Amino acid sequence: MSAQRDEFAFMSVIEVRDAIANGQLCPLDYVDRLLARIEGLDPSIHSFVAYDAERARERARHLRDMRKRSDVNSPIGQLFGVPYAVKDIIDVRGYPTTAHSRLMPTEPALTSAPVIERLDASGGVCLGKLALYEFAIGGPTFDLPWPPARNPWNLAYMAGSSSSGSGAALAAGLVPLTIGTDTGGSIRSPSMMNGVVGLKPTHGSLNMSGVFPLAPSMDTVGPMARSVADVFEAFSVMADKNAKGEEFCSSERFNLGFVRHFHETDLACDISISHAIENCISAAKTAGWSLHDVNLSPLRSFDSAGWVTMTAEAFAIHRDWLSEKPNCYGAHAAKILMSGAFISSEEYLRAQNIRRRLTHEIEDALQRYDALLMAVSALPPCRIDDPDALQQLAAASVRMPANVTGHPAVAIPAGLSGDGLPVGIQLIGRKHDERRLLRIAATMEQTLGFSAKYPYPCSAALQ
Amino acid sequence: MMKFWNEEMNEIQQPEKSQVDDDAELAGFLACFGLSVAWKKSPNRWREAYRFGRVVAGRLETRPSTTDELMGRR
Repeated sequence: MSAQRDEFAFMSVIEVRDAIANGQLCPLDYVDRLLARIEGLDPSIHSFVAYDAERARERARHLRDMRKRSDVNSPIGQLFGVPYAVKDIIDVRGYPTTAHSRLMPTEPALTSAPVIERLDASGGVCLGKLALYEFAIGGPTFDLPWPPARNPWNLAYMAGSSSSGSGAALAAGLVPLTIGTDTGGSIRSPSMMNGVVGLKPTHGSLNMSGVFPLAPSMDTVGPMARSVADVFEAFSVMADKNAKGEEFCSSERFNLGFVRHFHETDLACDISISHAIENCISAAKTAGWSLHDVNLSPLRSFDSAGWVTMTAEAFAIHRDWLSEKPNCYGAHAAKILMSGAFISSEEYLRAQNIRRRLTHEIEDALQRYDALLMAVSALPPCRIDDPDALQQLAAASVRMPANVTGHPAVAIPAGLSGDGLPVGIQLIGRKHDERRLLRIAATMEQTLGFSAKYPYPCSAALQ
Repeated sequence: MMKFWNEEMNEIQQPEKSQVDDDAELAGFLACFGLSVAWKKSPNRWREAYRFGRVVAGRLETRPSTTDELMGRR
């Protein structure tokens, strides 16, 4: 089979499950096709840190036999036969959790994180572990045992921070569902930069056991996929809420608050991002939605409170390793993790007070609006080998507000940059109401009518 | 209190002026955390981290919290 001509590569989670359920698709054949693509394409993309082909085949074979033995009308799990892959900071039984660092133990995890157990219990097939920034912080770096993931839209470009492999694997059609983590935007950044959908759930809504912590007061784990519907399907499994078959796209006319100042005045915005957002506004208005500008505190207030919290909490976690093996870290992660040593307790507590005030501010806004619309980033993806551009891109993030306040946020694709790389928008919703947030996002996705034309068949990677 | 946290450090908090030119201060501060050996192993990384940490903290809002905020009231 040719990796270039695999028409199954970009099937959705729901299509895969339903095709397996009605006997049109064999789970083992499908897994074999994806493994062939991984083998053919990933040596150039580097989205996987590890994959175990035999284990994935064994699991798919088991599901195939189980399906053969059962009545075709008998119910199956919500993700029956759906392959997924996991950011390598989350425990999956039998795989070492590397956190993309040489510091982590090399022994395989004895158990899977509870969110992964739920994916498996619903019939998911784990293909492997995905690349990230070391300990989910820093930037793409070449001083680690594994190379950084590259963007399948253009291999000279970065794939987003920090769940980079989770975004790249989806855009390359290597897997239909990935799991990432988001402490300062790490699901939404690679979602935008690879043209996929990513959900940062409400802080505390999903079990974080088995996920190596970065900053526990802001850490979240969440699903990424190529459509809002797929993300909803995976989230309902991870949250143990049965939603199979639920129709959640609606013709409802939503009332959105538009946080324009984050990207227009608090940051210098790239023209392609402005265009993508204005297109969203126009499409939403045409569909009869109501949009009003909302003024929140400056983005800098959210960013500074988030960074002080993140560096202080991360230092507390890494203190012993930083003491014993400071040179085992890559340069990017070391700088940020060590910097937490220089945050005073007064500064940390002040940051928490600021977070409380900012949380009330967003909650007040969400009493008036169904969701808040904003950019994901004021700049599009940049080249992976340009340190200045990477620094500018990091400073152009519009992702910290949802981490600082704990609200759920979803990134969806909204267009392409001048360089042909994906750009996106973000919606923030009410706490513990991901279902409504995703309903709004799905309707926005449908209203926009933007369908990412994935860089199939990743011609650059095959050259 | 250590000179480290004195008013003089305000200047160092400005990113364009950030320079840790007194390694003894930094070494002393890290020793309080039991990080003396780590400092000796990678002084450049700690110097860079110090600058980064102070820039991050220097950007925090300085508006004093209101009593209501401190009490967790709206």
